[in-house]
Amino acid sequence: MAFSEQAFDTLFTDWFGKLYTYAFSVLQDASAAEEAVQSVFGKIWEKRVQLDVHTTLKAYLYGSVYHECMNALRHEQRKRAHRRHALYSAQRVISDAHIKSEMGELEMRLKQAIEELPDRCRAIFQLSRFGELKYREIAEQLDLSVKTVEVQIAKALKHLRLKLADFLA
Amino acid sequence: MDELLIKYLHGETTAGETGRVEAWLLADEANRKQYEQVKTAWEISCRVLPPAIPDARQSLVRLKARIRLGEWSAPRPTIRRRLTAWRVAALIAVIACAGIGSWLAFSGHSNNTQSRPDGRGKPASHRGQPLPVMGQYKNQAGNVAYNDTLPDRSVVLLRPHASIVYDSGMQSGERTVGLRGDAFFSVAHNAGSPFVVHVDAIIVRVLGTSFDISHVDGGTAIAVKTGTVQVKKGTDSLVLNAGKSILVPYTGGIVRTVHAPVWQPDTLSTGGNEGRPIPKGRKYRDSINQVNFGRDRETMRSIIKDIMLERTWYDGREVTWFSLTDSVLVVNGRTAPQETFEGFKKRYGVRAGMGYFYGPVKVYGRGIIMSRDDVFGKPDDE
Repeated sequence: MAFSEQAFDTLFTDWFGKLYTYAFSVLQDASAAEEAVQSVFGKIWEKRVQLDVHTTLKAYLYGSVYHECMNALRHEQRKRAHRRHALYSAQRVISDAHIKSEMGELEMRLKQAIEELPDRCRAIFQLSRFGELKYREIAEQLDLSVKTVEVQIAKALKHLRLKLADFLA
Repeated sequence: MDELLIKYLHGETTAGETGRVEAWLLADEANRKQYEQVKTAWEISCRVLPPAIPDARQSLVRLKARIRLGEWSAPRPTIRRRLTAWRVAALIAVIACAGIGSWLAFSGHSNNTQSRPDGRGKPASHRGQPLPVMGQYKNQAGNVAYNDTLPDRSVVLLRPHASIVYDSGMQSGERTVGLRGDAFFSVAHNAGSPFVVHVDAIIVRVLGTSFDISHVDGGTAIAVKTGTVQVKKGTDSLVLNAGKSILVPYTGGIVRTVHAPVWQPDTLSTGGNEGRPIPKGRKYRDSINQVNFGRDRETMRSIIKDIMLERTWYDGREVTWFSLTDSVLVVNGRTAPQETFEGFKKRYGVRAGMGYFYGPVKVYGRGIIMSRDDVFGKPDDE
C-alpha cells in the first residue's frame, strides 16, 4: 500500500477518534492514548511507500494501537517504581474527583471493574468491543490463537457480569 | 457456559454450539436470565468513554510537527537498479558536490539546516516529502548551545543537540514553533499573535514571557521566568505564572506540583551573536559575598555526600543535580522517600520558600543555587 500525504491526512482524521477511544479505554490516560495513536501513524508515515497490510485496514490499525498500548503499559510499569508517590497521589485525587463529578454510579463501577482486569485481558476485550473485530481478526493481529482470544474475552465479560450484578438483575 | 454464551452473543459459535446454547436457554428461566446479564454487561461495557476526544486535525498537526522533527524518518523507496557506467559517474559527481557542500556549511559556522527568510544560512536539500506544517525553517544546535533570534524578534537559546522548526509567517497570525530537546525562550510581546511551542505531546501557549523547557528524568519540565504561559497536554491544561515551574510526566497528564529544578541560561542576547556558543555564565561567588560562599559550598558538599550515603533509595551514582526544598528532595530526577526527605530538610534547616539547588549549570529556584564548578571548582577557587 502506498499513498500520498493527502491520503495520509484523510486516513488519520477518519480513524483518530475511534482509535483514540480504544486506546483510552485501555490506558485510561488522555495523553498516553493520543501518543499511542500518533505513534501508529508515525510508523505508517515512515513506511508508507512499502506498507503491507495483509488483513483489513481496521484490523491492522486496531492491532497496531493494541501493541502501542501494551508497550506503554509495560513502560509505565517499569517507571512506576521510580515515579514520585506524591505526584501519583495528587494525580489520582484529581482524576477521581473528575470521574465522580462526570459519571453516574453504574459508569463508576463499570470503570472500576474494567480497570481491575489484567492489562492484556482488558486490551483484548476492548479490541472486540470498540474495534468490533472478529475473534479470528484479533487472533491474527495479536499473533494469538483464536482460543486464547475467546478465553480472554469470556474472562473479561464474566468479571463484568459478576461485578455489575446489582445493575444487571 | 459463560464462554459459550459470549461466543454465541458475538455470532462466533459453530452450528453445533449454537444448538447447544439454544437448547440450554429453553431449558430454564434462570439460564435465560444469565444470558441477559451477559448481553447487558456487553452492551454497557462501551459506556466508559474518554471525557473528551481531542480534535483530530490538531492532533494531526502535532503529529506532523513530530515527524518534521525527525521522530519518524521519511520513507525510503527500495528500488534496485543496475549500476551502469553513467550512473557510477553521476554518483561520484553527487558525492563530490556533497563533500564540497558540507565543507562550505561547516566553514560558514552556520547551524541552519535550511535557508532563512532573510537569506542567512545555506539552502538545504529536501529529504523525503516536506510537510506543510510547522514551517520550513529548522535550526539545530550542535555540541554547544545555540542562540537565535526568530523572525518575530523572539530569542531562543537551544541547548546542545536541541532543534526547533518554525515558519516564515511568524510576524502575523499564530507564531508556532516545534521543539525537540531543551531550550529557553524569551518571547517578543505581541498580544494579537500567541506564541505556541509544541514539545513532546505538550503545547505551551505563551502570553508574552520568558520561559524554559527542559527534559529531566520522568518528564518535561517547564519553568516561567517572566509573564505567563498556558501549558496543555491532551485535554489537561493550566496557566503558569512567573516563578512557577511544573513537571509534565512523559505519560500521564499535567501534574500540578512543582518539584524539578529547571536549568536557566546565564545570559541571553537579543541579537548579534546568533549561531555562536553562549558564553559561560557568572559564577555564584560573583554575586554574593565570599564569606557565605565558603559556608554554602561546604553545605552543598555535605548534602551531596549524605545523598551518596543513602543506600536505601539512591543507587550510588554520581549526583548530577539535586534540589532540596521545603517540600521535596529530588536527585537526578528521582524523588527521595518522604522519611529521607524529612531527615534532609531537618538536618539542613530548609525553610519555606527556599532550598538548595545543584547542577551542571545555573539552576532556577529560590535559595542556594550552585553549579558543579561552584561546589567542586578548581583549587584556586578555594
